[in-house]
Amino acid sequence: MREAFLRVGTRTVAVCVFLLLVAGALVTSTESGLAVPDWPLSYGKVMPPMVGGILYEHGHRLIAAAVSTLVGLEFGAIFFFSEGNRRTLKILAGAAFVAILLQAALGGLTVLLLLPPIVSSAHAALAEVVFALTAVVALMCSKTWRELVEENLRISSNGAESMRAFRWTLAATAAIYIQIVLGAVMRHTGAGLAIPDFPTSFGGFFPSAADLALPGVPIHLAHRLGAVVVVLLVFRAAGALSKISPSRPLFGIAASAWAGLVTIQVLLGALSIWSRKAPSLTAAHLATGALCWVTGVLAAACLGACRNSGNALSSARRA
Amino acid sequence: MTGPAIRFRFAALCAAALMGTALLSGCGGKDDDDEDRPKSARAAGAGKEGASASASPAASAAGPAAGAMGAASITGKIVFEGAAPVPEKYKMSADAFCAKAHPGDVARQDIEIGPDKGIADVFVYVKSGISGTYPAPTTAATIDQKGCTYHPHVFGMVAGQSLDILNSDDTLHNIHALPEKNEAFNLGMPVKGMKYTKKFDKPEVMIRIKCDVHGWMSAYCGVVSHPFFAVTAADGTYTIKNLPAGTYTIEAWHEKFGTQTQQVTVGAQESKSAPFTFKAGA
Repeated sequence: MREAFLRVGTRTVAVCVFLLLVAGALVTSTESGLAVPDWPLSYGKVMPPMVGGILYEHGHRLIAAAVSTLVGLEFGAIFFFSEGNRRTLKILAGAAFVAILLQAALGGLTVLLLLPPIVSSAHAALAEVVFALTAVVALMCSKTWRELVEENLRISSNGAESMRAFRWTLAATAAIYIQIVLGAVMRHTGAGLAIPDFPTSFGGFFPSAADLALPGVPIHLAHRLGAVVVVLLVFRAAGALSKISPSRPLFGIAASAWAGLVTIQVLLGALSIWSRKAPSLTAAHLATGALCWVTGVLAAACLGACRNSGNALSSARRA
Repeated sequence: MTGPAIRFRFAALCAAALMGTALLSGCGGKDDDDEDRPKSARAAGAGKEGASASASPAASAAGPAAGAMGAASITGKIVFEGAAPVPEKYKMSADAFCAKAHPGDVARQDIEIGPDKGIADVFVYVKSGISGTYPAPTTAATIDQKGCTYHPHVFGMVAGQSLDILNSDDTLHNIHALPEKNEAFNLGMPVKGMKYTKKFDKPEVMIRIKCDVHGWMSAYCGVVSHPFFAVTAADGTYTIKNLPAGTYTIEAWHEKFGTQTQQVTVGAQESKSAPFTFKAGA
């Protein structure tokens, strides 16, 4: 009963964190980050009129308050009610709670300092960490995790393939995170349209030296080149995951979802430029980026769990 | 070291490292300068005309100064050549008060071209050629948030001159200045009749001012070190008065069409014309 409660609860929290992330994306996309100039109150009130940009900024604050509470409750529930020796799960849940509190402080700080790019980018980068932590916590409370870790070790029999998939998945996931941070810096330095055309750059294949000297162009170009690296790595990792899917269909599904998400993400990036940064499209671009990142994190976590279980079983058999 | 729970510490460590990286990159910042408090609860109803008048340069430059005042003037008309671009339209539906003040579509203030092609809201100033220093006027320039738009949309100030910021609307605004050389500020003005006073101490052409609550609201302020500037009227005309004799570089700035400069030499008590022509895509 407790496990079922934790299973549903942790999934709900992860989904709520994702919604919070989308709300944050809308704040940036609608340029409403400073629609409420004070913090933690809003125009000196708990509930100001929800007009214009205040709807996005104060809405984000309200959702953040609710989700932070949920993450705190999740930590408490896991700490006191999870069964068995689940120290790592408790550490991760605790880290998620600490991270979301720090995230709230960064959010306040960036408003009070008038959105300095470094603080706003850190706020965006930490949001992805919170999402990943809560997603992994939800995974570790799932039946899938229990099967992977405690019951079904078939995948460990194909060690070389799973090791290869694990390494590619880690590489692709790390690349996605770096790409997300680059994207955050690009957004918060106002460089989203520094190169105004796509797939060309200032009408050519690559920006000229003079174009590269323009403000925002280097970071924008880095984000585009990062996208190429991410696409290549994700497709390579997805291919490696597909090879182990006969023993674990879960990885085949993850591979397809990952490749699909990355494809959509590239399309959304292009649409963001072609639409001159339409808020709905840039927010969708950020949300899909978060899903790409968490897909990689979850796949890596599952593969890591399988490898660990397999190694443990081998050791036990040898003994 | 057996068991997934223990071995999966790797993931926890990675997460902690990522979190630390994200936080470390957030260290730093700058001073907040929202020290000014609301000074009056009285509504100040200065419209575009009044605000323009209060920002009028030569009239408000008073008192002794190391820089000389003269009797020469530069006048001109700034026109658009070619098919006049149509300003983008938008709705103020995000706020019921604003929507009531402006039902239907509203044209953006960034392009205002009259029937005779005169361009309004061009900031024209002496970019170089002025010698000596000029004190800031004792009278304040004014910007008013009225009908969910800024009045005036473009205005000039002398560095160090006070800027009175008014909210004549029965809705809340934030006024967010985004200078690069001066100190930025973002002030909440939730109550009708509120007034703040701020200053820009350094010359800077131009400073963007925006409301983040109502994304369509923006204004531009040109801060210069002397009183020799003007903003074009609805018909595109301007006059820079009280110049001493000399040779000056005059710059015309428009938020969409960019800048143009030309050199003008005026003798004492002489009036010279310096027209400008902006073109599409120039």
